Amino acid sequence: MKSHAKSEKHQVCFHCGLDVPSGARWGVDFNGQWKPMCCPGCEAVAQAIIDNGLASFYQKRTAYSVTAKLPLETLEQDKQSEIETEGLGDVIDTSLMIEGITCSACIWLLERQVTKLKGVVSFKINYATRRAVLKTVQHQIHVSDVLSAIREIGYQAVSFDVNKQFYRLQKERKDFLGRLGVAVFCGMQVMMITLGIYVADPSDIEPNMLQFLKWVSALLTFPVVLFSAKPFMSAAFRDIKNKMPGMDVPVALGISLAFLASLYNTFTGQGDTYYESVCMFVLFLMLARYVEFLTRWYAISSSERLTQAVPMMAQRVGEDNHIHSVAANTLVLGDQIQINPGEVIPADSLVLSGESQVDESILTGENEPIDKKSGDRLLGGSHNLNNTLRARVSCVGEDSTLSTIARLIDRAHAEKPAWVEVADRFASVFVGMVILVTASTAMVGYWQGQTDWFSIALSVLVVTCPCALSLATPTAYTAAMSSLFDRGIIITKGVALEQLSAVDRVVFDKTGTLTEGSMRVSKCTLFGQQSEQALMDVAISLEEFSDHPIARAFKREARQMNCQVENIEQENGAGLTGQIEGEKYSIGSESYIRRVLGKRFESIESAETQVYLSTDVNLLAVFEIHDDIRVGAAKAISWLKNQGKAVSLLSGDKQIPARWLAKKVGIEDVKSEASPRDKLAEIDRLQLAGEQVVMVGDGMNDAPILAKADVSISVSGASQLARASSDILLLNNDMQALQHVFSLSKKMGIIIKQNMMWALVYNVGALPLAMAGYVEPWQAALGMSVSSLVVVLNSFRLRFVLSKANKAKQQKRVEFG
Amino acid sequence: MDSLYFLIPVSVFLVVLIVAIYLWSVRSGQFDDLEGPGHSILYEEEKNADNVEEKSAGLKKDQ
Repeated sequence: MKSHAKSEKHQVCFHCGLDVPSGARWGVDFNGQWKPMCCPGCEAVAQAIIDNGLASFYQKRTAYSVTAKLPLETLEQDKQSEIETEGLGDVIDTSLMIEGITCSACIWLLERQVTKLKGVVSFKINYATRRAVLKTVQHQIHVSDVLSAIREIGYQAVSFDVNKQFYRLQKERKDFLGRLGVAVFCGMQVMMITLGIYVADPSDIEPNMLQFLKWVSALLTFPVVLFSAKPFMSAAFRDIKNKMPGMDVPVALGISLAFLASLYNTFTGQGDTYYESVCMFVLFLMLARYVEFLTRWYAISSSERLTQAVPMMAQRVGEDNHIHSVAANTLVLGDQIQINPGEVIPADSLVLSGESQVDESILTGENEPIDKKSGDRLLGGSHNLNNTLRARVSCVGEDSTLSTIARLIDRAHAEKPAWVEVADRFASVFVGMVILVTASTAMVGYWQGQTDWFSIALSVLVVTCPCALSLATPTAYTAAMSSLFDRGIIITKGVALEQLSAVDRVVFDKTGTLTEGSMRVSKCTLFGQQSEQALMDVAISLEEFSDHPIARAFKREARQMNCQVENIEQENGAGLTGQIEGEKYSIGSESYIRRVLGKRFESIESAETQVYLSTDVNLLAVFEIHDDIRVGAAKAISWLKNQGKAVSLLSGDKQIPARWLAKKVGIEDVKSEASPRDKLAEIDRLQLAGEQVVMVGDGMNDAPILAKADVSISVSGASQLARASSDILLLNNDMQALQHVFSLSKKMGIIIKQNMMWALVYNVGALPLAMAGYVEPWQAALGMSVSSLVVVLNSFRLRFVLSKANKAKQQKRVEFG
Repeated sequence: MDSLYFLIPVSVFLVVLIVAIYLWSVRSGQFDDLEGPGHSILYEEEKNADNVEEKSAGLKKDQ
């Protein structure tokens, strides 16, 4: 390689777009021009791309590539990947997940690089999912060879087990599209023919022609009934076998009765045919089901997005301070990792050194980058923006934030609330009634000698299908939950959303809820002769033993001397006493110190939380702890009040700081100095008074209180997720997320009511008309299908209630470079 | 009117053809990625032009 000494200022790497360090000599010869590079990794990759005759990649791309890493050694897991392949005959299929794709030209580059390898049959990358399917001839090439070819041009690829759920959904979608298409094309033809028969006078069409048209319709309806309507048929068959008739039973019965009767009438050459009704019925029902499926698809693909967020590679700092590239899933607790700017953080970790901004939007929905410095938590899957960070891995595998979120979402979607089962049972009673009504209509009509008794009975059967009724709530729930998830709000119990709209009172906790929970010592008042630093050292040493949130404020302070503490005595939530160099020291709340000293002293008025330090005879110092009010708290509270909800503050803190905070955020009803037991009693009292109570807490110290409330919301932020226990989790630091939850829950309530109303009005209204013979079977089919389609589409609207912010987020993602 | 006896079977035949093509396209994954092919068409031209020599050159090198 040539080495040109060229050092202009503000040069960016030709490959990845990072600044080239001054004095760096890396670069490649590109079409006769010297292009500088930021590191040997990029240089090697660019050289490989050019050597492979793929240089035009650099003209095609619309975004810089990901910074390449050296060394490009073979990873351990390449060897494992052989086992995961599955295949028939000579051609093996392997699913690959590819990392580093920044624009569509990358796909071009990858596909060319891989398909030219000998033994590769095909290599297709899905741009939307960043997944690829590799087909190779057995014994001609190993998957690991392909992986190293991909690595050579600067991408990371790994073979993976096709996620069962995702795979199943993909298959289901294809299935739906196929069945829908057949129903559309065949239904269109049948309608065309039928329209001709309707429009023409009966005398206009020769009997032979009429018979011909009917046979053609029958032929075209065959695939619709046998193929498109198969899901209804098999579901109905299963329901009957389980003796639990659901809404599919009347649907299947209607379709098959109408089709068989038409076929019989066509064969005998007399009586009505209902081919067009059958086609339309199937088509519209399928359409309604497909839209319902799409809501589910969106919900699941957003949690799918999460599992893809963690990168495959991590930079582990070895004992000799060397950096090794390792697969992210081999990281263990306590490993030291380095995260370069622009990289995704491979695991939950604690920052050891460095300061940077991190984008956590994928987890929390929050678009603003967050400052991180030594001691802060990093979330696996978030994006490091400016500077290099060193961190210690604090959580891996099942316990990591990402897996926890994914698990919670899966649970919420899988959970079948009690009322759904009640609705199912209700539906089966309803279905029984429908069939009974149909049968009696048919019999009465037949005895009375009506000529069209069959078509009336058919109309009754189709018109009264409770499809819309059974779709009314589940569709609304799915849409609402996935819409909230995009905003960093996780619903762990679906029912909570419905209850939320009926709530009268919102009770807030103070520390860590209305305030950020990131406390610092803001002021220190001294009473003795000792220096501030000496007392601070004592306080820090004592607070080391406490896990109260306030103790964190002391742990952040700088200390000069480490004091050896002995004989610790703790009183939970109040304070602690310990011996340092023979002297007894106590630290804690005002009332605790008063008890220790056994005498009164003049208390200091302050708006901040106070911590007292004393020996067993003298008061030494009072520390004031400052805690920032959470972003958006005041706005969220005034919004809640506007919605007519009562708002209270329930705090374990002293009266003055509690009142001060309440005034700042606009809460009038304040209960201060409440112990956990007092808080429980207060919630109990409110509930006995007939109020529905929402408790908003940090989800950790107040778990029993959260459990007691009708609905619990925790604002713990994503980092404490695993320990938080509540119905609704706000991952976002911004309190205004509360507003989204409440407004969406209200909207959802409205939509469910609309759906129910519509379904009932339709079913109840149409039944007498159908029994009286005013509804033709095709009209019944149209009415029934359209009514379920209306319900599904109405629910779908919930996705767009909060859509504005999402757009901004997407735009940010697409940004160049 | 007699022409209908010919035209309707033709239309039925066409529908069968359309359905067959449609089902094939769904099953072969034409609808799986609605985004990528829209981009890849921009690179297609050049790919065909030098594909043959590329492939053989690439093969030699990688062996």
